[in-house]
Amino acid sequence: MKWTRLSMILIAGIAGALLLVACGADPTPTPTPPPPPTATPTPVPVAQPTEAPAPDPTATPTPDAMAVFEAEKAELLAAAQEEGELQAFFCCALGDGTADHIRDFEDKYRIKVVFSGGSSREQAPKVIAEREAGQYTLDVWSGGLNPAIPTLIPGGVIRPLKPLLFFPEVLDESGWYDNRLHWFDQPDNEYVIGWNGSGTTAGIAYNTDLVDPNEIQSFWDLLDPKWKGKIIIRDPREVGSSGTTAFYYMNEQLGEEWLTRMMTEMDLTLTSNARQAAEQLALGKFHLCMWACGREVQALEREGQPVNDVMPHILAEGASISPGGGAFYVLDRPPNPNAQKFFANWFLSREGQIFAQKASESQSLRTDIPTDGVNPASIRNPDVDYFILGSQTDYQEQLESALTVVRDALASVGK
Amino acid sequence: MAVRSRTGVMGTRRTPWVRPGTGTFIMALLLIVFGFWIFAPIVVILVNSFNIAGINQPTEWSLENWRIAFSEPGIFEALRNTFVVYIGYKAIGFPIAILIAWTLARTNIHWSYGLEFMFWVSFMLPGISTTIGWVFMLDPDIGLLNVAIGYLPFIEHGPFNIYSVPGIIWVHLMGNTISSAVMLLTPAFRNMNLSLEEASRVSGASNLRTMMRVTIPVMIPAITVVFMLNLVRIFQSFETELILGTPIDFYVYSTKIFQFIRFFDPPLYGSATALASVVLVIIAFIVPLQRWLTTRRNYATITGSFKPGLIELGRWQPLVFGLVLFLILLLTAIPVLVLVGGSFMTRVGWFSSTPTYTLSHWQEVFANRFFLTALRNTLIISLSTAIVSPILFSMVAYVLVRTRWQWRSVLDAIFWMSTAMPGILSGLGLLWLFLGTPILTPLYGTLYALILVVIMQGKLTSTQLIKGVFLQMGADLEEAARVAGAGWWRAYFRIWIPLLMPTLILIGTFNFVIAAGTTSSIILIADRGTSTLSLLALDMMTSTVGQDLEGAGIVSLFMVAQTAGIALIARKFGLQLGVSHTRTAREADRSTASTAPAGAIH
Repeated sequence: MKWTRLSMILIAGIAGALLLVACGADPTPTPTPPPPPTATPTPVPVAQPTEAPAPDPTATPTPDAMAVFEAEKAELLAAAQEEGELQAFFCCALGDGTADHIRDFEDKYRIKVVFSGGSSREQAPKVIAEREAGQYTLDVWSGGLNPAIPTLIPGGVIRPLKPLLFFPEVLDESGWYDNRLHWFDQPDNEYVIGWNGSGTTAGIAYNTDLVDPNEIQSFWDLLDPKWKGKIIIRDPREVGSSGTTAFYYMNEQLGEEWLTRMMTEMDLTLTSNARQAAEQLALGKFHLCMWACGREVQALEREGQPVNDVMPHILAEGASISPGGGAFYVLDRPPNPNAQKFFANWFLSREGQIFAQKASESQSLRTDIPTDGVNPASIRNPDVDYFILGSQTDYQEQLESALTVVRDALASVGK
Repeated sequence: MAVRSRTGVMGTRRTPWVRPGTGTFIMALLLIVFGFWIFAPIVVILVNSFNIAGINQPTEWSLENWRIAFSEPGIFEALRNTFVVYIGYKAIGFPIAILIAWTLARTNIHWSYGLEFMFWVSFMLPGISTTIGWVFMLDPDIGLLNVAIGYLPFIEHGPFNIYSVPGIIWVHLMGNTISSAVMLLTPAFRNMNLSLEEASRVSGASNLRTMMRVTIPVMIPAITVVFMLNLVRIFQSFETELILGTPIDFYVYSTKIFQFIRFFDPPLYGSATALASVVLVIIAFIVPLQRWLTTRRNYATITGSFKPGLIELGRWQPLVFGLVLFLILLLTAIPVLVLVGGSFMTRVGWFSSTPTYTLSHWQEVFANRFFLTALRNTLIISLSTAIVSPILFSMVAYVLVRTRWQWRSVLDAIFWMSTAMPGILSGLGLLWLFLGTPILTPLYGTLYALILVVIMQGKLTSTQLIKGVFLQMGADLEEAARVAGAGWWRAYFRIWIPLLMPTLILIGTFNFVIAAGTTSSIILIADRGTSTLSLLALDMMTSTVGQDLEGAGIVSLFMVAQTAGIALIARKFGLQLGVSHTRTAREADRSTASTAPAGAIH
């Protein structure tokens, strides 16, 4: 942004000088003094939260420890209330329901949550530009692994979350799926935590009048020529549907061969609009819908249309869990550091994750909370060993390779 | 303006210094302000397209983004497709629009102002509603029209397919192509001097021949401007192509630009900029052509001897009225039905949903905690724009047409440059502009920033349209006022503003609509506190938990209602000013014969 500002000043200066010369003004005008360098705004002094000592997550808190925790929590809450508000960006998995349910938090803790929504793709460059100009406007962010891992961590926009966590119920890993907290920033494991853990059977939605789901026992069955021209997909090159692509690519039983054949042999119909894809499925114009049709298909199913996005069985190649748009991270130099720390702990607590489930209708990675309000289609099957997408060390490289395979394959068939 | 010596050589003798006049300072101010506002974001974006360094890494200059952009598979086919679609709908729509504008302004068609207003309403309706509405009508399998035709004997199925190039062209025609051109051209046609048309008819020409040989040639500045305003935005239209073209693998240039932003994380803004920069070639062609067209002859139609009057349609009246009304119904009925009807349906257009009808979408919109804030913000931003932009840009247009100050053509070209970048890229440029310019930074995060952006957003259309009207006005009007002792300000507000009023009302309404519906230019500058109805509708449309088309439609209805209400009020007052053609040609003839002059400048 420094060179941006400099270039703007330069342009204005050159334009002004040229004009004055050209229009017959004094050819040697008094040079305008350069603008003073913009000082980096001094942060408003606030009580800085103390970072919690690394806890032993396996230890059961003793009464003394609990008393210390409660005192620390009360002190932090008081400081957060002093700040009065939390600036948040909630997108993706946390959707329309957020505004209704966040009121419970606001009423209970007397901290106003000022949140914005929209697309992470647009929010990321905005936040980066703000920070380059010395403006720090956000405390917390709930969204996808993108843009956190490729953009926000390298840009120094987010800071480690792990040292801020001190609620025992958050750190107690037995309360989480697979008995661990799910960090997705490899190898650091401290910036980006996943909270959304909806199970998927196959990521395949189908028209129930036209398809017997038992015909499909393996993903390879989808390459049967009888499905040719009958599959509509949300464009897999779009960032929002990349998790599905990664699963197919990283699955050893599918991989590049399956992905390439699917893209090139099946005469796929692409759309950027998931609602359009789901409606065309319900109308019977297509038999199958893949790549993130689920939400729209579920809505149509509730309205009595002949569609379903839950297969009655797990396919031979297994199923996956992906945080999707349900990852959480905290921003560096937050305007409300105490509210940030308090909210981060609360959000990952049982109470916070019940809120997240209501707001998203997706199942949390916490295993110690009821699933009321969760869309039945997204509840994990306890008998399935899910492949957890995104937690692999080389996930970003694998994802990029998968997208390259898809782009090349689609380009080869003129799409 | 440096003064040369008598020999023409700058000698050693000291050059006399000429004190620059007021015009020099005003022009310099205009060039600096508008030049900076328009060029700074474009230059920053263009320069940045050559930087391939990652975030927080040292700058690395390269042509890689440009190479990626122009080696994108299918890019040249997409460019060709763009022109195919554009020529398709423009070749059909533009002549129709000219004919309708002429009919509304130059003939005594019944309910002329009401019909004109209906084209405004059509323009106010959101494009997505038109697209969805016509999908319901012309889908090859379930389209209502196709299904209805299928009931006819000997026809198995209707012939229409909205998912086709003709389908895309049709939706463009039913969208804004015709209505915006009618809206922008009609006021110019109203400024036509009947004397010119009479001369043609006296020479034995028919009404049609008069229109083709007299009226339209005189209207060339206005027609050229409207055509070129569309042309420079050729790469900005993509919603219709995205919905109707993608399923049939039909891509246009703008979808390719869109893909560089949507398909990559971080978005490839550099490559998108490279593709978008092609519009600079079009601008380089447009600016001199438009200047040549508007300066090669005198287009003044409103002078001290202006003669009002309309052409009588006679026995053609019912047919012409019926055809225009039919077109208006075609343009408005489908999107209005989708918007209003769809808002009461569980899923717009789906009669098989359970339940079919519901009030839940209305309840959800009213319960939305951001709705009232967005409603208020939209009203503030749009009203500010509607009031400020016509006055501000009428003065700029005055400078461009009525003065002989140097560098006017540069100022004109700068305005055309403002269309060089499509919405999302210019939005990013504006974000950098606000954050990187100390004088603008305090506005960032406030409603003032949005007001400034949307006011400036209307600069090209406003200035060019008002320029067209100034070209129609004879200089004698202002000269008479000045001779009578009026100062510039008095002459401007007593002579020009009343004459321009219909156009100013049009510009105000036009900019109100644009301001109320804008998204890409303000999305990076707005937050929840300064959000608008258009951003709220966009949120609903792009929600990952399910696209709420019905809720977005309700929000759009509020935008349409706001705009229509403002437009009605403005027209009620504004149409009492300007030139009036309440009489037909025959009455004007009688009037001319008995009394002179017949001017009707109110």
